[in-house]
Amino acid sequence: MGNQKKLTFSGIMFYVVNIVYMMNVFGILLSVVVNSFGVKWPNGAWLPDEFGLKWWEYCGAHHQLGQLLFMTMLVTVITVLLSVVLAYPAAFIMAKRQFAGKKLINGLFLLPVIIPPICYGLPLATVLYKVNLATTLAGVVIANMIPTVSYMILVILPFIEQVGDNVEFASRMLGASRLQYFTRILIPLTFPGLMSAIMLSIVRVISMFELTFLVSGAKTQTLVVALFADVNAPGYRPIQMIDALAVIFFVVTVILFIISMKFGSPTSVYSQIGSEK
Amino acid sequence: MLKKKGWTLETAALILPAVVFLLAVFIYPFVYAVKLSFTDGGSGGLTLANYISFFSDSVELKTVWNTIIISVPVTILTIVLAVPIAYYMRNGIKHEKLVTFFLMIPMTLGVVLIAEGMITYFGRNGWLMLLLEKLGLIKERTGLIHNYWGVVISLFIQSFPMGLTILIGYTRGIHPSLERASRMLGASKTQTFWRVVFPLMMPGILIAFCLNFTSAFSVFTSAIMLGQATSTTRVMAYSAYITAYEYFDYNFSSTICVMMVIIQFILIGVVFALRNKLYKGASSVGKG
Amino acid sequence: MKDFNQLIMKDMCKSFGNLHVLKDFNLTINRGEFVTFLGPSGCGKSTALNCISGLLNITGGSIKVDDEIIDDGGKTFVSPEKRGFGIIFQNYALFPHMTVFDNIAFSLSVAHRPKDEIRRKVEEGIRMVHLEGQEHKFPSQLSGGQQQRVAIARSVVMEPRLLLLDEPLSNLDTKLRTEMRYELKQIHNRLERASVYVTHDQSEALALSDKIVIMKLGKVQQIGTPKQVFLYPANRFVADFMGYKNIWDAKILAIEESDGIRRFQIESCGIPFAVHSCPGENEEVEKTLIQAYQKGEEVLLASRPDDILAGTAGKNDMKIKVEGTEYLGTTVQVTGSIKEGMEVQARIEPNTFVKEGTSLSLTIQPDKLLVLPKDKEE
Repeated sequence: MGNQKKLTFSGIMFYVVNIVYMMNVFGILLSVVVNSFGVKWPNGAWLPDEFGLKWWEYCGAHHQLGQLLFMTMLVTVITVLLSVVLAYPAAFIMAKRQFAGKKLINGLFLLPVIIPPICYGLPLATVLYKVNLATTLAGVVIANMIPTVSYMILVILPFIEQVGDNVEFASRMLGASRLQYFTRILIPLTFPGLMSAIMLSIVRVISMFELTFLVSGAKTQTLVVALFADVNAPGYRPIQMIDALAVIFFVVTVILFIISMKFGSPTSVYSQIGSEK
Repeated sequence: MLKKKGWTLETAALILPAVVFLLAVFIYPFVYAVKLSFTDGGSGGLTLANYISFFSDSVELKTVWNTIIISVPVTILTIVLAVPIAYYMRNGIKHEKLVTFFLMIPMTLGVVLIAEGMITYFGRNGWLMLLLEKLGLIKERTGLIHNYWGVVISLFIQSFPMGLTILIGYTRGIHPSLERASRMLGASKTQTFWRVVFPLMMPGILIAFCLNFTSAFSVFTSAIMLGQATSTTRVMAYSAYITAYEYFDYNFSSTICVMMVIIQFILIGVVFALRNKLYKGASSVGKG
Repeated sequence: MKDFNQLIMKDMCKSFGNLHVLKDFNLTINRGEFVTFLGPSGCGKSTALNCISGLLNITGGSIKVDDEIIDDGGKTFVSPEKRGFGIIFQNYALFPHMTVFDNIAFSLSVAHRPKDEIRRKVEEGIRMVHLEGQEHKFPSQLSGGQQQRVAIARSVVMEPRLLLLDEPLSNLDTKLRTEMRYELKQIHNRLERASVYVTHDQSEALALSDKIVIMKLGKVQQIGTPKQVFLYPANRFVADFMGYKNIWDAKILAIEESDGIRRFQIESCGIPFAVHSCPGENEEVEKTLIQAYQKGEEVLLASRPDDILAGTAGKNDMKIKVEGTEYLGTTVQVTGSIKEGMEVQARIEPNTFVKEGTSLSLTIQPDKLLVLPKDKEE
């Protein structure tokens, strides 16, 4: 209370845990960057003896980086755009209409956020293999869309709920058709929500691993999958080379993340999940 | 008003695409997997054999245990650390946007990148080990990867920001006047925390527990990248994957998937039953 | 906790950074007194209350309970739970996870009182606010008025030596507000301790208080009994707040005194007015308010719409051009002007014929007019 500057238990916890946590995260990221530029790093030394682009060249030679980046972007953009087309109207109905079975559908929309991706990814992969969609771009997009549609509905829903029912009523009384209500009233009013849903989803899809891993093939793999494959592939891959790939992924993601922070707090959705239940 | 009850053409046209999509690529495959789990791989006949072998196979039971022994401590640690921090941050802090940004980065980067980075940083020659050695805290550098701890640390790094975020959301939902009222009624800071703030945080704690547990329970990537997926950190998700992709036993793999979901639903059920028991009142504080 | 005889605030200041919310606040609250902080939003009344409660630290001056300093803006600060004051918030701040009984029992239970004492006192409290049979409900199951009663009982069972009320009635509808106002006063009388009440509603303040503190932008404008502040507002702001809607620039032509009544000859916009001071309840206050004026001084002349009558009386007559009328049932509110820039609001008999654009004769008795000092600042 008041403005006494006493150190409390929770205050100490805040500083200690956050500092330890952030130092380690920072250490992880920095060591990846340093390692990728280190030509030789003797055991037990703080820094490499020699810096150079050796491992970056190595990385460029072993990966079709252009293809990898292109595929990552392609999968992300198509997934997010198709998801928005499905999620926005659905979020509108969930926010503004009453109908039989609403609770059931609400549950359906929540499930993909709760169920482990492996649990539906494996069966989905099996089905996709049967219909010859596995390893194709379509298959990868479908798999990634499942959690993204759910996530987007969760993000957009509160924004649409904020628009008063009277606004819809008034626009109809003024002679706007349903379509006009959507294009001229609802979408402009919920534009911030729409944008933050899109940006947050882009960041999520880009680092979404399991689903892409299960259904992608050599030509449709994304950056994360390549990164995982490098670490776990049979045969030796130098860690410095993998670190170079990781830096590329890291830079792409952080840029997108910073852009997305401009559109909304990524944190809001979790409290939303909580209140949904 | 426009809030019509029942299905109108508009309702159907706008919501069905999303519903049909999820039914086709989410529910249908899962139902198919349930069917597979009750099917004999060879003859194609209905059988309980997969479930029987799941419960009698010591490797699978050990896998369930491994998954629990990894996910439960991570979840508990996350909650125990996040509760006081969320409480501290309840009225906002200095440089909050910056702190949030740094906390969100690991979540944004995803499991794979963090795990990859940990190989260098937490490895035997990584900075952390060097630092601990210099400080005299350890005698010999061992590395915290390729074992149980590697997996737990990576899960915690992912799990902590999510748990904290949920709890901050809930803590900020507690009207500040409740704390003031408590102080004015003679309760000390500690009493106020345990009698007013903590009980009101409880639903948030349960939700955070639930979501963090489910995400830790589905651990897959870091168990492979940072653990020993074939032995000590053989987890259910890995087991399901390996059964399908290396032994091509889709029936048994489906069984593992179904069991994972069942175990998880049992947990969610328990937590929410607990929640309803503990928290009957609504969260609103008067009007205005 | 021991009762106090006086709570003394001396030069109390509160600022948030460069924002000075409370400036040189001086007030003494005596035991048994019902004191109201009255003012528009942002005037610092809630801040003053929170400084007394200890939810805010003061940044200058001091607060003393008899001889004990409880906050001196520096080293000494008694934390809120140790002051023995009770508070009732505007939003009631009931604990949503506790039943009515547990809410009311809270202060006793954190003080580790014996179980049977808690039960007895809570039951007493529940009876006092007429909530029998609601003990086991949760706040969310109660109406606004009932929640308010729980909040009152919760603060009263701890037997606070000072009860602080922060706009407690503003979330209730008009009818309930009047009822609860009466009950609050009853409870205050029964406790025989001091209460501090914060409101922006002048009728609440007048009905409840022994002493009213009128505030504006962090500064005290006037302290007095309801009758004093109503009959002798200290300045234009207080007058306006008390319903003196007609405030005109004026000049004193002559002052004379006889039989304890002061008679002013005043001119406002070329119209001569006669003003009589009426004997009030506290002569000293009136003297300081009135005697300061001198012949030839520029002043303000104020009146309330209800005091203006239709017709002529040979003295203080005005002819106005009617610009607007509003039918209010028991009266008609007339807005008009005597001349450019001299607006008049009056509430007159509803049977009087008035029409927009016509002229109307009005008059006011000399003792219903008020002389105010011209504002120095603003």
